[in-house]
Amino acid sequence: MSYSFLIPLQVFGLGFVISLFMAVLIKIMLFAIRKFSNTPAADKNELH
Amino acid sequence: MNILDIFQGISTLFAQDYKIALFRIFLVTLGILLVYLGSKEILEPLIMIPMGFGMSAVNAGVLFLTGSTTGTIFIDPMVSDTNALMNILQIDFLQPIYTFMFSNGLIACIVFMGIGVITDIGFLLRYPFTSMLIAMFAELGTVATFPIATAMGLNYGEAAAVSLIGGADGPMVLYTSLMLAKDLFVPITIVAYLYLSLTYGGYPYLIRLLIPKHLRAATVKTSKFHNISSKEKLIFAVIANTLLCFLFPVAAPLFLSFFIGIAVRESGLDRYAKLIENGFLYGATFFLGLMLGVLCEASTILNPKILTLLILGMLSLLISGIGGIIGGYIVYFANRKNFNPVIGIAGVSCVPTTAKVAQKEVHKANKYSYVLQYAMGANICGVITTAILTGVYVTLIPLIK
Repeated sequence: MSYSFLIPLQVFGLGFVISLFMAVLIKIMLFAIRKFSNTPAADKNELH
Repeated sequence: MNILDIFQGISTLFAQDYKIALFRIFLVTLGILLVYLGSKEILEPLIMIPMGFGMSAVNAGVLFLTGSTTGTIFIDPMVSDTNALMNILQIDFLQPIYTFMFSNGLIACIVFMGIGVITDIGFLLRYPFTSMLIAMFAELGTVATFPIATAMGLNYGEAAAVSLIGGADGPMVLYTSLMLAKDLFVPITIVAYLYLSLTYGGYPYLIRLLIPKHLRAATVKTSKFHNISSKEKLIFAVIANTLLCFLFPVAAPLFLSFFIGIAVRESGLDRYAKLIENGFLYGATFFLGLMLGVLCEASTILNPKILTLLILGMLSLLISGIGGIIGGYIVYFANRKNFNPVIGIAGVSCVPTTAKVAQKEVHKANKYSYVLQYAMGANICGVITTAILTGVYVTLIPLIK
């Protein structure tokens, strides 16, 4: 496949994976912080 | 002696090639028009007023340098030889700012630091999946424009830089242009800032075209609401910054600038926050506008690729807007219609303009619907996803060249 199509596909694919990974990271981080500190339970109002 | 020899700004018009002379007059007029449109707030005044002044002044103030060679004493962006640069630094009054702040991307980083200071990532941390999903769809223009740009004759670096206009983030376009398309960074950045100024006026029409009124009026119901603490935001900033710097060292200055801005805000360092916001951000924005204007010297900017850049820039922002709305629709259906698809436009990361556009359009359709917090989440995510895509482009393209 031509680089003209391959490059944007790679960029979008990598961007998508990293973004979703960051979203997962945020969830885990918030869970961990609240688990090991005295702040209220994890946020439940995410739309999913 | 010819009387016109005294008034060299005029006599150079007759000494230069007629195309350049005509283009100079056009740019002087355009500069004055930009000042007018900026003062009327039709275009972004913070950028457009200094840019318009710079543009008209540099094209009027052309003089004979040596013999029949013409030029200005504002700036010489093409100088590369060290000795010549040392001479120019002592003559051209804006050369120090260009050399020490522009050509190394420092100005983009300072603007990005300022954006970090004024950004509340609480919205993003509250709705991470929704925000990230919308923001990624709003990057559609950033990737879809690339093959079109290469088909129109741009090389990979230039295509990546112009495609990033769809990310709607001025500092990113500037940074990518400097890294990948140095010869075209002036026109690409100017096109980007011109179009970004127009998003506030153009995107409402796109929203009304693609989303029927009853959907624009939709309300979003949430059952519980927890505040995100400063400690949580700070921890996220540290982790995300470290992770992204590990992944894309080439874009590490951008990541550092953005996340350190967030860290300053969330650490309660008010004096730093005020310094960065009022001093750095506005100072850098002023010089960014002025430098972009001054760099629009007719003989420098007259490039056959200008028209291509104008078309591609608009196309990229248009596709990103459509992509954002598609993302909004996907979340709308995924959440069993408990979402407002207008929020999708906020994924285009023109902070906070597109979020304000989304709220304004929703409010017009239903004055009881309040979506700004979701829109801000998507908006801030848009900044992060654009930074990620910038990192991927800047890393990937040199490997292929």
